[in-house]
Amino acid sequence: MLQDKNEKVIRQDDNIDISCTITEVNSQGKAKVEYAYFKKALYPISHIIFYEYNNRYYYPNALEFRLIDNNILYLTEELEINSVEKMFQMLTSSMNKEEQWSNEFVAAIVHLKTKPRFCHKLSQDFTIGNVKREDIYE
Amino acid sequence: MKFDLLHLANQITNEEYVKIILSSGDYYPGFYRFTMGDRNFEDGQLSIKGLVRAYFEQMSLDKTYSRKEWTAFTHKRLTPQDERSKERTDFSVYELLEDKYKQWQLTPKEYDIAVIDIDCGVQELQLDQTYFFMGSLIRLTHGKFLIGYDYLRDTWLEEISVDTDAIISYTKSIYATNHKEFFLPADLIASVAFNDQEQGNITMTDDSLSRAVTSDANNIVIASNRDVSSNIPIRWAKDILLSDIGQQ
Repeated sequence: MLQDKNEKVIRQDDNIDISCTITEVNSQGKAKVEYAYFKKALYPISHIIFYEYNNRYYYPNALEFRLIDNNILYLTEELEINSVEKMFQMLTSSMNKEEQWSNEFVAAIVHLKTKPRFCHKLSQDFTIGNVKREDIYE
Repeated sequence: MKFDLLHLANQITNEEYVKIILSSGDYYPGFYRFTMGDRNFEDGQLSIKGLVRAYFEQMSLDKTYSRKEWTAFTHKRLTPQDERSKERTDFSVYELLEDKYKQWQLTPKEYDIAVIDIDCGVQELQLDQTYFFMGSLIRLTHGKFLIGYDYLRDTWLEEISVDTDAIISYTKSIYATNHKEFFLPADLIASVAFNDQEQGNITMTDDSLSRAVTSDANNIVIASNRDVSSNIPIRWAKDILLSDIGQQ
């Protein structure tokens, strides 16, 4: 099932100040989600999820909305940052400057056998680059 | 506390997907997303009055405005950002993006333009009304949830079949007294496309013109780069403010 046992990714109460961050992904594709008041949602490691299917990368719309590291598609589509390496430079820079916080971003690449639902297909030339990454296979 | 990424990719239900999206309202804009609290009308930015006046000038007098005129206010707002960026210790990272950021703001062939009634947040979602929600324009019709709704063209980016009564109850339950702060009546009402001579041609329909002139007195008008943003779900998060051309 999708829903974590704390039932906060799909919110069940009116605590609107709680933000989500993915801090760990295991080899089965189970993500650990941390929750905190949005001003305190700072963790040493943040995972950004990408799906790969048939040699193309996809970004899940659900996470674009829900995670605190939101608006990844603003960077990839609108500012045309077509590599995760450059994206992480940008995110790290923003985290340092805006939150006075240093953390590590990790790309979790989930390789799929079927095309994912409700995802944005990234450009043909989108690459991962030289970043810390974890690969998960369906 | 485990969240199944394979389920999210392949087996997520329509209801789960819509609820995740509607769970995303909070007061934190994220790195690259603005909430409504960040927006105030600035003197010189495009207004409904200016847009409608320019549209009638175009219709009756064939008068159009140049890109330079449409983006004068946008340029003005970018200048202090340049100065702040130079103060960054990591300016080199910003330098990489600076040109793209300016291009995104200033050089699209076509802008889409939306109005947001910022003081009219609702206590409950209504069918066939569009709302600005966390940088997206969403709409419920009978049995469907639409993401990226475009009132001007009556199109949308994504349509999800869902029990809309249940979704309306759901948003009421999770936002409670804060509901009205997150769902603001809004619509994409116009576009401006530039020709080879860099003159902007405004497109509106009778319906979108009517929607524009009946918007609440306290509204803001924002733009989005249609060339690169029309196919992404959150396209109104970092708005582009055009000049109040009809009022110049």
